[in-house]
Order: sequence, then structure tokens, then C-alpha cells
Amino acid sequence: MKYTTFEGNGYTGGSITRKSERTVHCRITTDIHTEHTATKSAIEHLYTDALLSGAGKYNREEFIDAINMLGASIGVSMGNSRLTITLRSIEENLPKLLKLFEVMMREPKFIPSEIKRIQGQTKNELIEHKENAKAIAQENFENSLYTAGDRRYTNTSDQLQKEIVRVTPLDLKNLHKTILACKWTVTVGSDTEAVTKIRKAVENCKQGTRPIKMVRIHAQKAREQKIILENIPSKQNIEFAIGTSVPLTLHHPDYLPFVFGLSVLGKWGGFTGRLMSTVREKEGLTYGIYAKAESVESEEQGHYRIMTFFAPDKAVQGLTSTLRELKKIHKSGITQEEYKRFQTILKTQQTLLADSLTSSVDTLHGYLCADFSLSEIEEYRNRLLTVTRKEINLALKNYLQPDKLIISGAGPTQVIKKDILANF
Amino acid sequence: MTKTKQQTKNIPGFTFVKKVKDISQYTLKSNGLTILHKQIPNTGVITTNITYKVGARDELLGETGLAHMLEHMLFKPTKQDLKRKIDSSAMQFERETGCVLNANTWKDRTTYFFNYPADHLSRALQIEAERMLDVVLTDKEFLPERGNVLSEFDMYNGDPYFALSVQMVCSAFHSSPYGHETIGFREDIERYTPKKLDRFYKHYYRPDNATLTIVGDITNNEALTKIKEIFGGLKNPNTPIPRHDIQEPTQEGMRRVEIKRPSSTNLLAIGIKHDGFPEQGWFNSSILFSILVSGPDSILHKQLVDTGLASSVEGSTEPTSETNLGMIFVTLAPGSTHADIESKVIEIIDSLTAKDITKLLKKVIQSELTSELFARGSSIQIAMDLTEYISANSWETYNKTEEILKSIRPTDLIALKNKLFDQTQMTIGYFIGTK
Repeated sequence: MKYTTFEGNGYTGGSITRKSERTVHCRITTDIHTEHTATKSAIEHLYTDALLSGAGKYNREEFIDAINMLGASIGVSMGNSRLTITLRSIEENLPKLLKLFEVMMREPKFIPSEIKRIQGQTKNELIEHKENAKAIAQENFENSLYTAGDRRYTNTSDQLQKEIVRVTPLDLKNLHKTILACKWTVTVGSDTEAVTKIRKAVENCKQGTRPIKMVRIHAQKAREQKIILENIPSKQNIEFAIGTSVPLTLHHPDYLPFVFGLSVLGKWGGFTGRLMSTVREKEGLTYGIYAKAESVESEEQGHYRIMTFFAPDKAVQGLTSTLRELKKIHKSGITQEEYKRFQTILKTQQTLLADSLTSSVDTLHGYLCADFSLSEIEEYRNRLLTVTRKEINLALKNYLQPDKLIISGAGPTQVIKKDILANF
Repeated sequence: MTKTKQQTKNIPGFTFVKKVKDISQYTLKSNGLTILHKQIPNTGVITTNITYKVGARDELLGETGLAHMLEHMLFKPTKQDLKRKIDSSAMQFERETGCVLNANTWKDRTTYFFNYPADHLSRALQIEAERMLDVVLTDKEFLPERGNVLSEFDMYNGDPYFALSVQMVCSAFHSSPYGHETIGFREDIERYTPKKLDRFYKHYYRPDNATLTIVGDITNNEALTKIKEIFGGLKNPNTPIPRHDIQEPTQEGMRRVEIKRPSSTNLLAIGIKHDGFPEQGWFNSSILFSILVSGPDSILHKQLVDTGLASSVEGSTEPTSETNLGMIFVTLAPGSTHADIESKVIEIIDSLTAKDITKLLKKVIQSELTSELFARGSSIQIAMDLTEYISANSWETYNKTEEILKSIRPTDLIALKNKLFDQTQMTIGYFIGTK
């Protein structure tokens, strides 16, 4: 697999190419965040479906038909005010898919009848969302860490339902103009011909647009200890998000030592972290428990979060065990044995990427969105493997803050609320 | 890591069975272990996957979920681990190297896999060989793990779709072993013992009931030499593998189930009995379901979601070797009633003609073929996808899906639709949110 980067008018990007590769996987991301409001959030909610609901000579049905007849897909998603478009196709159908992509970006229709349909569907989805305990635990957690103008703040379903109905086609057109003007990050996995074709399509979309500089609001709240419990009686388990804000950006010298240390505590996925070894394996209190740093950007500070769930009758015991492990690693740090072992683990993680072009593209895309060059990516990966144990333990000591945790739970909390509040 | 050695068919100690495209099958002569091998050069990565032909269908009444519980126990110490004074070789492998490991149990099979840098092959195979016969099943290891399984059960059971599907299969099947979900009933899980697990383990975990798949950066010669060295000495018990011999009684009318919970979710489920996997009929059912519920241009999405009657529609068919229950789920929008949506869905499906689905069929097949091409790009995905074909005793069909999919005609699907959605053969479920 050959890695390269490129730059054009209003976009930067990279590619991973393999000779005779028959598939094409491409991600395009742009960051439109300025200041979060419920109104903007509602517009962004509708935009992803609206963009796929008719363009140029195509109405919605014809447009979706045209994509599907190719066996290809165009996915549009929005998270934390970042729009990501995913293109997937076999190589021979790429030219036709790119034509549809260009029409979608250059001539979207935003027809009122379609907007009305999407408003209705979104409202139904928001009602369903009220029982998504895992998402609610995380949203309440992040809302305790960030102010209302920050991209990580989430409005309630009820607030968004009120705003959704007010969104007009003009709001969507204005958002679309912003999206065209913002810088795009484009990452492609395929062969070199496909990369050329995608770059050409991107340039066609960006033609005539003027780059704009976004002024972004991001603000963390002062750290404080807090317990938030939301009762969702239909669920069996209580989902938890536990953690606090971390005053680090991607390039801060403490960030990678902290990431390394968090992996030892609760490496995301698998069974290697201390939390999985103890809270799950030894004590049998949960099916899964992981920890990671999130939302840490080149210019924005983020947080760390422990994600788990417990049955109501095991919630107090589960939280006690989780906090015990957190305090233990905060106090004593990681051992020399863990340090050596996790160096190998993190290295293997990088090796295994070669097994899948799609995963490699997604990983590269993440780096490119954060404005890393290929040499910086290499340097960054090496740095993760060469941080010292002393740096790691110092970072854990400075940033875990076990006395200023947000504990957010969602599920059948009513039965256990008193006990949790009394114990933590 | 580039391997350039020639692939050879005849390797001492193995019987070459067949090769279909780039996948070869062998049998280890000493104990009947089946091996599938596919080389993907220059990645430096290997996936090994061992599939035992044992799953929820092999369980007894009162012991539902035992196959899944046993799957968890294979990550506990073996006799060899106790001698080494370590927790578990499998877990230690992950904890020391960062390889990807996991397992899953389904109706017909239980599967364990490792995805790792190629130089760990011997270690991965050694772990599989030891835990095939020598896992230690005691209360000390079992009790905390049962807690985890109960936690897993509660995780699923909190989901209205899962809760309703459990009731659906129970009602749809009266004696078929597919009449309970793989994780089992909570009440049964609470009553497992190490003795029950041990009996189940000894019955089904044996070389002649397993297929070891190796996909990745290794030649067949190197892989098989290592397999012979590590698995060659394992012995099968002298007893036959127990199997249920059950014929599901004929269904003589629509069956209904209902769940009420303090939830704001309201669901309708429609269950139909489809052919086993990977028969042509299974693929036809799967494609029919895609036409009905998959994506914004599917028939029920357009008529129910786009019109505001429902929040979402989805469906699935089960890749099990015998007839199983496919289910369509409709999440009702506020204001819709279960009975109205049920009538509407049945009416829409009843009225479908070959002309209505011709274009959709073409799109769905194209989409399936593209998805397959993407799924065949990584060793872990290939090994996982092969699993269902292995458990249905037809791994070679994995390489024939393009041909199968392209042979499907609109008229086939209309005939199938009329058969599957015969109301006397359906099971209907309501999840009623009382909040």
C-alpha cells in the first residue's frame, strides 16, 4: 500500500493506493463549526438527508435510484458540526458515481416537500432517541463538560423537535454554501487512477467557491464533581459515562503519554485494559468497560471517558470497582511490565491496519483531518511507542482528576438513585 | 512479509479435499480436523478462525444458552495454563501482543478467532489446540463469568427488538431447536453448573467437529506443517457427537405474541419461515427482505417511513442451515396503531407484482455484489464470512454467491413472497410501550 498526500484549491488530502485495486473507498470531511446553537443543530440534523433528496435533474427517488443502480453508495453524516461524505464503489462505476456526487454538491434542490418529509422523520427519530440510554448518558456527560456554544454540547430531543419544524430550504441552502466554501479533507483508498478522478470531481465541486475562515467557539466548563442520573425504566442496565475534561490538544507533549496511560487503564475494544481484567474478568460486574480520550483536536481541548454499564443491583459495586481502579492508576501509575507490554500492543495495532484498506483509509483520514503530514503521522505513531513511563505516569497524575469526575448514568436509575448518591 | 513459495496440494499427514478459486480444503488424517486455507500475500497479517459445529440448536430444555456460556469459558485457563501458573493463554496472548481476539456463538456453530502479525502463528494455533480439549471448568472460573453473561443478557434484553424477537421465535417454533435465542433464558443461565458445561464441552469440542480456517500472509505448506505439529496429536472421544433429530410440526394458523413495557417504543414484528442457508431459497428470501426494508428506496420504507406512519423499518434473515424465522420490524410513529400498520404491511406485500420489484431487484443485487467485494479485502472479514458457510457444510458456496445472486428473477421472488407471507404460516408480534 502506497501512501501519498495532495493539495488543491480549497482541499487537502491523501491516498492509499494498491495496484489493480477494484474497490474505491473515499471520505470527504469538512468542519463547519462556529458556535453551537439549537437552531444550527436542527439545520445540521436535516441537512444530511436533504442533501440526498434531489439534485439537478433528479428528484429524490431518481437520485437514489441512480446511485443504487451502480451498486455504489454515497453516505452523508454529521457529527459535532463535521460533515463527512463517504463514497464507495467498484472502480468501473466510479466515473458515474462521481458525476452524481458532483450534481449533489453543485445543484442540490432542497425542495420544500422533501424538507417537510425529513422534518417528520427526524421528529420520529428524536422521539426514539429518548430511550437510547447509552447516547443519553454520553450526552449528559458532555453537556456537563462543555458550554452551550461548544460543538460537543447536545440539545435535548424536545428542544430539537421545536427547532426542526422551523428549518427552511433557505437555511439548508446557506449551510450548503458554507460547506462548499470550507476547506475539505479528502482521503481515498483505491488505485492511482481513481485518486485522479476523485480529485478532479472535488475540484469541480469547489470551482467558484471562495475559502472562508471559520471562527470557532469551544469552551469547557470548570471541572467539578457531579452525578447525573436519567431514569429510563424500559432498560435493563444502567449505561455510564464517567470522566472529566482534559486541558490538552493533540500536539501537547502530555497528550500521547496520557493516551498511552488510558490504554493501560481501559484500552477500547478487547480485554487488555486493567478495567476489563478486574471489573469484568475477576469481578464479573459488567460485559464491557473501556476508557479513552475523546474530542481532543489540534486546537480544541477534549475529555476522557470511561464507558460501561451495570445491572441496577450491581451499579454501586461496579462504580466502586471502577473508581478504585481509576484511583489506583492515578496514584501509582503503570508498572514497568505494563509499559513494555503496551508498547507491543500499540505496535501490533498499527501492524494490523495493513489487513484492511478501508480501515487504513479511515485511520489516515483522521490524521489528515487534524492537518498531519505523512511524516508527522509517522513521527506521531513513533512518539506513541517511545513515550517514557515517567511521562505516562505524570500525565495520569495530572489529568485523571479522580476527585472531579462527572458520573453520568442513564437507564433504570430510579431504583438505585439513593444508593448511588449516598456512595459517590 | 512476502511469501513466494509455491502452493502445493499434497502435504504429508493431510488429505487434500478440494480447491475452489483460491481456497483449499484439507483434512488432518490423524483426527479428522478440517482445514481451510487462503493466502493473502504481503500484508504481514494472519487470521485464524476455528468453528465448532455446535450452537444453540444442540442445547437441551432448561439449558438454553449453554453453548454461548461455554464460549466464554474458552477464555479461561486450560490444564496447561494451570501448570504454567497463568490466567489463560488466550487472554495472555492478547494482553502481551495486542492481537485481536474474540468469539461468537450462533444457532449452528461456535467460532473463535485471532487476527495477528504473521510471526505469532504458532502461538495462536497452540492456544486453539489446548482449549479444544483442556479448559478447566470449575466454580472459581465459572461464577464471575456467569455474571458477565447475565450482564450481556440484560444488555440485549433491554432492547425492544431483541425482547420481541425472543418471543417471536419461541412462538414460531414448537420443537425446532431454533425456538430460543442463542444467549438463552435468564432463568436457565442462573442455573448452569460447571458439570453441565463439562458434559456439553466433552460432547462437541473435538477435532472431527471443527474447521480451522487460516487466511492471510502464509503459504499452505507452512500453515499445514504447523497445524500437523500442533493439532496432530489430539484425539477424538470414542462416542458419537450427539445431535437432536427433530421435525418441526406443521403450523396451522397465524401465531401472535405481545410484550408490554414502560417504554415509548412501539414495534410491530412480522415473522416468516425461510429456507436454510446457503440454499438458493435463503438468498432469495434475503434479497426479498432487502427489497422490502433495506434503504430509503425499499418498498416498506417508502410507504411507511416516508409517509410518516413509521419511524423505521428493518428486517433480517438468519443464515442457519435449516428453516428459520426471518423478521420484519416496523417502529411505529406516534399516532400509528399496531393493528393498522400490520394490515397495511400485509396489504402492501400481498399486492406486490414482478413489475413492482424488477428495478429494485437489480439495484439490490448490484449493491450486494459491491458489498461482497469490499468484504473480501481483509483476512478477518473473509474468515468471519466463511464461518456461516462452514457451519452449513458448504464453504465452497462462499465463492459462488455472484452466480447465485445473478440468477434471481423477479418472478421467483413473487412466488416466494406468496409462499412466505401466507398468513397461516406467519408469526406476528407487538411490542407495546405503555409510557
